[in-house]
Parts: sequence; structure tokens; C-alpha cells
Amino acid sequence: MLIIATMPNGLKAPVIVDTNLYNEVLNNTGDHMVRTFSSATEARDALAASQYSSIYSIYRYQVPWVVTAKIPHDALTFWLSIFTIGGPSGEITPDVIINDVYCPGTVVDINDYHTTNWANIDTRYWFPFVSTFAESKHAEAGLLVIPDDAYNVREGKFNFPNGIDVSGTYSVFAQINIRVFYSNSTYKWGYGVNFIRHAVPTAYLNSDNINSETTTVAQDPFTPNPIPGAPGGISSSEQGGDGTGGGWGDFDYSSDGPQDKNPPSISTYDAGFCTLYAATQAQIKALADYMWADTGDFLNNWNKLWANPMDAILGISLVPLSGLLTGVSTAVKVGNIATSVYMTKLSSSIVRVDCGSIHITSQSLSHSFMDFPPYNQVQLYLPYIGTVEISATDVVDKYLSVSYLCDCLSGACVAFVMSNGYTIATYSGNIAAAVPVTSGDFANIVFAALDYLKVVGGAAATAGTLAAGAAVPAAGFINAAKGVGSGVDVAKELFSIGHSMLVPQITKGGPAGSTAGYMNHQKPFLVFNAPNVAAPKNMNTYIGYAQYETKSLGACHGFTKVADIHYRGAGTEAERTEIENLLRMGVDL
Amino acid sequence: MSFVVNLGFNGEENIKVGKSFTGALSVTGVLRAGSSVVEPEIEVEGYSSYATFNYAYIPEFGRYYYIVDIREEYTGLVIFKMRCDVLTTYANDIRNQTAVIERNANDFNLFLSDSAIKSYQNAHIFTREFPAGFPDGVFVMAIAGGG
Repeated sequence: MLIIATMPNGLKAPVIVDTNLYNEVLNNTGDHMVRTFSSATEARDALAASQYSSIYSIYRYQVPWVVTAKIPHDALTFWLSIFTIGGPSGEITPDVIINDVYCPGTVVDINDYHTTNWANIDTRYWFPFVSTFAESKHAEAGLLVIPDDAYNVREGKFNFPNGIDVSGTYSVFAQINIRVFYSNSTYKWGYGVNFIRHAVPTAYLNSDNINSETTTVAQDPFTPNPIPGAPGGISSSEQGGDGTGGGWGDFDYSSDGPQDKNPPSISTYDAGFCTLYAATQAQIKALADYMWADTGDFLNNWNKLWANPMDAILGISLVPLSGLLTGVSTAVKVGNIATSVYMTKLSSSIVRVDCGSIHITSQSLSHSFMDFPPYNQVQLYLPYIGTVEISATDVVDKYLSVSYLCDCLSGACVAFVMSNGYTIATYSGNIAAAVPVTSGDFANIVFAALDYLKVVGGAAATAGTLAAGAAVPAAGFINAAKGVGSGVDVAKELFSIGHSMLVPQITKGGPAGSTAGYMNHQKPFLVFNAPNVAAPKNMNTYIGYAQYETKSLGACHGFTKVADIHYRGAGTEAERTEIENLLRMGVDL
Repeated sequence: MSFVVNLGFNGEENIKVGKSFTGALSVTGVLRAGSSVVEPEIEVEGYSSYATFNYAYIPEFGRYYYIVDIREEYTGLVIFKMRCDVLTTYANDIRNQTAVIERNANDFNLFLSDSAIKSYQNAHIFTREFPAGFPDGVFVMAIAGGG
């Protein structure tokens, strides 16, 4: 007899009965699958002799599952099911433990909606089975493996009705335990293991997208357990509207890029008109000593080529890219003169800096709508760029990552802010703190610093302090550096800026590039301004929480308030109207 | 026309659908002229200790009632002013209804915006730092020429 595993409720969910595991279990259990014993002692001894020794047996198996699918609405589900046939109620008590789950995304224990972080190597999910049937029992344990941003744990609903890309390789180490007790004079008993893995336990739209197959297996003497429904499980992902997501479109909210940005294949440095060297402090000082040393030969040669030896040096800057020093050191050539100073010659001017990713789960916050805008406000500090506002939607229950592409030649940098691997924003800044090698350079640096002071002065005005005090020395720098201009004018300008910003505005950072950026924090960080939720004790029993679903009132329990109802039932017109009004005000079902 | 009135006590909240009541005492009463089935006034004779009753069921009407008021018309005649408890009388019909549920005590979605949830003014300010960033500084020198 063949059976085809199918989903309950007529759904087309592809269900895979793992034939290999199934057979292996059968082999391991051997002829003990069906036996009739003449006594409890005989049964106990037979069990003890089998692999499932004693009254507590362990079977362990790893199931790799390669998924390349995009599953609408739901997630991957791993199910373990143990069924037992025969024997009176209470005689056999199986249980299932799934542990050692390696997977991307969040593992959800269907039994209690408990969530943990991914890679729950030592996390065990135990779902003891309590059967009310005398002749056929089964134990089930299930795990949902889902992307972290997709699941509303509390309600077992998915935030993204269009579907979830669950591509990846999943491994589940399953530990199956069977306890057999002999407490009855009926000694016929049996047990088996039915390892079933299937995807999409509940409503979904299009099973054709799922890269899996339905397998037929030979039915063993014990009817395999029907495909388990989700115990206490994941309900349909009804989210309002027509029940498929709050609208009537195709719900295609998937991103198709851009993803991570690779350095461009060609940069201004590749023109070949200049050479970049990375140097330590000692190396750069050695070069300075070499150039300005009174050695005769160098300067004589130099003067043949350049009127001013400094003209050969297009610029020196300090950049936060110490990794540049990992290359091979070569003798620095200034013009056509090879010096005895060794530095690392750069083959490319563009360098990538990966700042990693942060994963902030809603579970770790209030796990409610207050984790999202406009309630939860998030700012992102980006080194050498400053503080920017980002949406909590891009952060909470997402993997937020930041990477930079930095150009050592110009100092320009671009930060790529990515949410779940897709770029959601880019910001530009400057990482290079120029080292003054001429008087003109120094003036430029001071001007850059003064620009920074302007903004800082404006921000300080917010707190009631003007930056006028800072303007005076800043103006002095200008005079000293340029020899022209008016410090008073600059001070007036700064005062004007500060005055215009007396209206309170929270500014948590100004320009953070160049030298200021070098003195600032070198890692990006998020600043959350999250609501301090006030939830009275047992609030749900008095006024409930928002549900917004179409349901039978018979399926509702406790305080229930309907948004709308068209009452169809007995009662006078006045009574029917009163019923509708009471339901709209809230009743206790 | 006289009919049976089951008097009792109900301690459950008024919004409860399908209330139960205890201490039922069956008496015989008549519907007072001018009153309705929905808000009846029942005349009961021959009893005197009715003060503890706050709930009633009248099989003749098939309805459960709140006892709104009890007054003695004259010695030996008590008037029960009642109002139909539609939530218990039509409990089964109510449970068979399908509706758009706005709020529920046990089945809800906290990711729906809910104006009933408040927040204190002192918000939580906290930071999360990325695991990596820019390394230490290094000098970069640009020299004219191809090197």
C-alpha cells in the first residue's frame, strides 16, 4: 500500500517523507517493529536487546536539506513524528527532541513560539506527547526555520506576505527518544519512527515555487502518522484586507538590488600620473629626513627636475587604513630619484572597509509595533560621515550592515548601509586628514576645521551656548594662515549661525570627516530612542490587544471587541441592535 | 397569565457572554400590564425575601434577565423590574457569528498599531556598536609620476 503524504486541509504543500531516514530507522528497529509478546518480561527483554535499549532509547540522525526556494508566506518546517501502534493508553509514551539545528534565520519552536537566535547548537525543543487515544499515538516536534525579519512570533504570522527567500542549507540533528512502559496485561506493542520534513505548514499561495518533491513511501504495518498539523500552530498569515496581506495587489515587496558594492574596476589612480605609498609614522619621518637632509646628491639631482622639491609630493594624508601596510615595501621614488626609504606602494587607491552587521530583534525590545517608526527612532553614526537618521524598519529584525569604499587618493569615502543584504542608503564623506607640507595646505586645513567649528557652534547654541568663544581663536587661525581676512567678520558669521539655531534642534553630530573623523569613534553605532512602554498588568483581560482578523466569535476567548459585525440570530430588533452595540464595546467570550 | 420565574444570583461581569447564576428559586409571577418581554415588570406574590436576587430566567420567555429593581407594591406583592440580558439569552447565536475582531484578550497581534498602549515620556536611549570599523591610521603619500 502506498501513501502519498499530503498537507491537511487540502493544501498543496509539498511534503517530503524522508525515505532514507525512514528506512534506516526501520532497519535499526529491525523486527521489533511488530511483535507480540507473551509477557511483559519478554517484551522488556526484547526491547533491551534492540538498539532502542531499555526503556529509554536514543536515535540520532542528521538531515541535510538544501533549499533553493522562495517560499511564499511561510517557512521551512522540520517535523519529527513518532507514532506508536497498539497497546492501551499510557503504555507507550514517546517523545521527540530536536536539537542541534544549524540554520540561518530564527528557529521557532512551534509548541510555545519560543524564539532564539540562529545557530542554536545546544538548544533543545521538547514536545512530550500526551495521547488520548488507546490504539494509535504519536509524538511530534516541530521547528520552523525562517528568516529573522519575516515572523511575528506572537501570532505566528508573517510580516511579509509576498514570501520569503529561504535559500540555504539546513541541517537538523534529530534525537528521537522512545519510552516504553509495561503496565498492562496487553503485551502487543510496536513503535516506529516517521521522520517527515515538509515546508509550509499553513496557507500559502503558490507551491510551485518550492523546490521540493512529494515522495511516496511504502506503508509499513503501522500506518504512518498523518502529516502533522502544527500543534498550537502557526495560523494562516491573514493580515487583513482579503486575508492575503491587506490589499489586492501581487504583494511583491522583494528586493532585487542593489546588494553589496564592489570597488570599481578603474579609479583615478589608475591613470598612472601619480603613485601612492602607505607609510608608518617612522617611514614618513624617514622620508622627511631624507629629503631635507643636507646630503648634497639628493638635492642636486632634485633641483634638476623640480624647482621646488615639495612639488613632487602631491599630498600626504592620514587615513584610517592600516591594512594598507600589509603589502610589500619598496623604495620610494620621488620623481625619478629612488630614495633609501621604503614604503608600501599601493596598487589600487580604493579600499573596502567592512564594519560588520548588527542584528537587533524585536524580541529583544518590546516586541510590538512600538519597535518601529514612528515610535522607535534610530540614528546611525557613520565614521567620517556623521550621524544620520534611519528608519527602525530597516533595523529591527533585520541584519543591518555597513561597509565603506574609500579612495586613498582623494580621501573620499562612501558608506553603504545595507538592510538584509540590500543597500538602503549611501552616504559620502572624507577619511583623509591632510598633513600640511606647505603653508597653503595648512590654510586649507584650518579652513576645514573652521567649517567644522561653525556647525559645532550652531549645535552648541541649541544648549544655550554660542560658539562665539571658539570663533575668536578660529579667526586668529585664519589670519595667521592666510594673512588676510577679518577675524571679526568670521566671528559675526559664527554668531549669526549660532543665533539662527537657538530654536531647539537635537543635533547629535556635525561633519565627522577628515581630522575630526580621525578623532571620533571608528566604528559605526546605532542610537535608539525607543518608547518606554507602559503596559498595565493584565491589560489584555480588560481591553484586549489589537487583533483585526475575521473570526468566528466562538473561536474567541476572553475579552473581545469587534470592529464590525452583521448579527444574524434571534432577538427583537432592539435586542439585536443591543447585541451589536455590546460586541462593539467589548464582551467577555 | 402566570409563569415560572427562576430567581438567582449572578456574580459575573456584565459583559460576560453566557452567564451562570446560582441559588435559583422558582416562583410564579405574572407580567405586569404595560411592560414588555425585553424589559418586563413581574408581579410575584407570596414571598418576601428577594433582596439577594439579581438575576432571573423566565422559561416562558426564553430569556435571561438582569433584575434592575425590586419593589414592594404592597404587602405580599413584589414587583421585579427586569431587563433582558442579551449576552446570555443569545449566547449561542452570538458565538455562531463571524465578525472582524478588533481586540481580543488572548489572540492578538502586537505589531498592529494600538492607541491603547501608552508609553512613558522617559524613552529608552541605548546604543549598539557595529563589530568592526576603521583600523588605525596610516600615512598615504601621493607622489607625482608613475613611481
